[in-house]
Amino acid sequence: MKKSSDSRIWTALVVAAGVLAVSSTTFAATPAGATGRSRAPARAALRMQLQTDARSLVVGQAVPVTVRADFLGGTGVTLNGVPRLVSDGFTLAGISDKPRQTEIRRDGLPYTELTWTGVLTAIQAGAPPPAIELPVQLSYREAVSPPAAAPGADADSDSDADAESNPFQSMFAGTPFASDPFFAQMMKGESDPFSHFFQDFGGAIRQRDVTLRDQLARLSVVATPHPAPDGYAGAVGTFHATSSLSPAPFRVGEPMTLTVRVEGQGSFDRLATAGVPSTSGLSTYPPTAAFTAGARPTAGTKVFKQTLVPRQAGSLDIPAVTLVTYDPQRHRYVTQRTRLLAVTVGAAADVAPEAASAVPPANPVAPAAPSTDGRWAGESAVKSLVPAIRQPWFWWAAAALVSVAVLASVLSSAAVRRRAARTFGRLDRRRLVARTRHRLDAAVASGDAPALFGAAREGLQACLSKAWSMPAEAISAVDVDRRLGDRGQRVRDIFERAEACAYGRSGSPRSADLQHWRDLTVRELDALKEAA
Amino acid sequence: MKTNRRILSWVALLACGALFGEVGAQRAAQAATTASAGALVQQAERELATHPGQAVLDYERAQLLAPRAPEVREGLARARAAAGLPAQSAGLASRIARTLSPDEWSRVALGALALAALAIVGRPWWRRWALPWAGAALSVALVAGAVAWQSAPRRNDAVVVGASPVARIAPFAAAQPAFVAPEGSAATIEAEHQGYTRIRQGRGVGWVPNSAVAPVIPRS
Repeated sequence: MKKSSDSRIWTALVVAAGVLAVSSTTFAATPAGATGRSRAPARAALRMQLQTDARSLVVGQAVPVTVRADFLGGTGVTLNGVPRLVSDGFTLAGISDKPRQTEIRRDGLPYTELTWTGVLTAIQAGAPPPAIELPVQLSYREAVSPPAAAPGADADSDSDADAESNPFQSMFAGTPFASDPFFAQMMKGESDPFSHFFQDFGGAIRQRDVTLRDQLARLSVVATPHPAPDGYAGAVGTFHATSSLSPAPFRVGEPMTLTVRVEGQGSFDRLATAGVPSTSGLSTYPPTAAFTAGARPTAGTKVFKQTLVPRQAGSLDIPAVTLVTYDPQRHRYVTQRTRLLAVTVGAAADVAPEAASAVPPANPVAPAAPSTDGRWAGESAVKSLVPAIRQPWFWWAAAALVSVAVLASVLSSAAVRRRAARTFGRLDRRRLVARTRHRLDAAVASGDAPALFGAAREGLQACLSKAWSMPAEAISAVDVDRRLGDRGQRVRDIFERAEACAYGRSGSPRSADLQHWRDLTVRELDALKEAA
Repeated sequence: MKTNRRILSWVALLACGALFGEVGAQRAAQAATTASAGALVQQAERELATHPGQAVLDYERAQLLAPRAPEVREGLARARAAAGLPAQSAGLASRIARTLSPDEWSRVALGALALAALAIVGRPWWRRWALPWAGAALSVALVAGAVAWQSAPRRNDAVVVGASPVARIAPFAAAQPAFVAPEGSAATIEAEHQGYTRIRQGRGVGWVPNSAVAPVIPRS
């Protein structure tokens, strides 16, 4: 079967070396230009590139990697995920969900390029080069193509295929046109003068789920030299470590913080240290680590913090922290040691120096406070976590203060002050009358006439002094006569009787008389209390 | 004047009685809500590697007691980083507010209010300075009170201490997931029901197990 020489193929094509899977069918692909068919424009392509010239990695080595996906202009693309690594010997980290998008031209055709960056880490020696996949959904208008036979297909199958693709062929069979060479050529699509016209305008919309795939051509993984030195945790790269201590002063039982700062480039996630070991003079906690990424993908800073608690006063040497890594450029292990730190530890705040050096704390790994200086001394005190403003007493106190202020403002008014004075005066007189009545009753009960008249006179004097604003002792029967006139006759009688009793000029009255005088006094007190 | 003094004395006496009564009643209830910053920092450091959410909670509590301690501030940042949370960026107002703890701001507000009240009570004697002094003290009291109110955690403010639990739309295990509450993130407790707590975050509202969330102010 003779095939057309200018046929176009618009199904998924690949320009880079790799494997393209279309709807669960996988086709081997070769780079553009390798064959006549692959010169057709590629609709989608995926490439993975290492940002290094290395062709061999050691286990644990991390290298930045770039993944690019190119899509021909006019192709609708829906990403069904992010690029995923297909390999048991590598891990891919740091791939972002949103790729960088740029417009490029290749072979004169517009392409949209999506770019992801990440970090590829080798984890298994001898692993084959990793492959990467990107699931996408492509939407495009498929150009009309003349029937093309698969390579190696026989003539019968070609005829069947032609009949299926051209329904009009059977319609002309058995007619005089069937033997016409022009029609026969046209039915087979050969040298059809209109074929390109229909190819450009008659294509159908196609939508396919495609998994783009690419594999690195040459990348081997070798193991680090054996045996590895003690303390090697698998970190590969170039690192520089420095250490520092929290500010002095240091005291027994109070923690200090040792900070080890490691800067460089490499697999920071495998970078670890055991920190400073415990000694007789020093208790230690396991170090904690925090990583801060740098400008480049594998660069950054990792900070280890370790809490140390001195157990003895005096000079103390903080041992160096050891960090073991593998340098892929020099192809050997590197052991770094931070500088030894010499400090002076003072006695505990509440323990004499001799006692501090002689007696280690009962629980050396549970210090009393995490302080490294005097500022923290007060922070070991137990306090309430509930702020005052969230506690009822705060609002009670605030309400009391506001009430006092408001009350003071109101009382500054003269009218209110006068009214309040009258009210308090009345209250005072009532209290006085009650007290006097109590004394009168006691005197009647005991038959003590001097006490009865004495209490009666004092009560009446006190009541009148409130009303007349003069000292109670200065009020006499003469004053009562002058101020009250006839209305004060009974009060005057009580005053005179009291005088007589006081100076012994009166005989002992009978108890009935005492009761009479008691009632009389109470009536006068009540009258004065209300009148005043 | 004598009458005024007597009235004020009675009011002050009643207020003090009520205050001491209230403080006495509160003291026993607050035993579980006390802690020392030092102990909280130690606890946080122990939890940092294994339970970063709990470490965040401990550092949040320590910050209530020691807001000016750089160890607490740095520790909180480390705990948040360990929990995978973004770093907090503090603005100028926030930095000023953190110069004092919410409790200290509260006491400043109360002290200023007391000075204002004193100035008003003493107005008959300090006629010239009483009102300006009262106005200034009242302003300080209002500002400090507002800062305290804003910065003090509410009773239902909480931190997710579980390992990024799934918040569900109903309080049972088979309910449909609503969102994932990141460990160490802040949340507001809205309700509790049969071993589940309803929390509100920026992501929405959902139910998580009681053990997955803890209030910043412990319940007494």
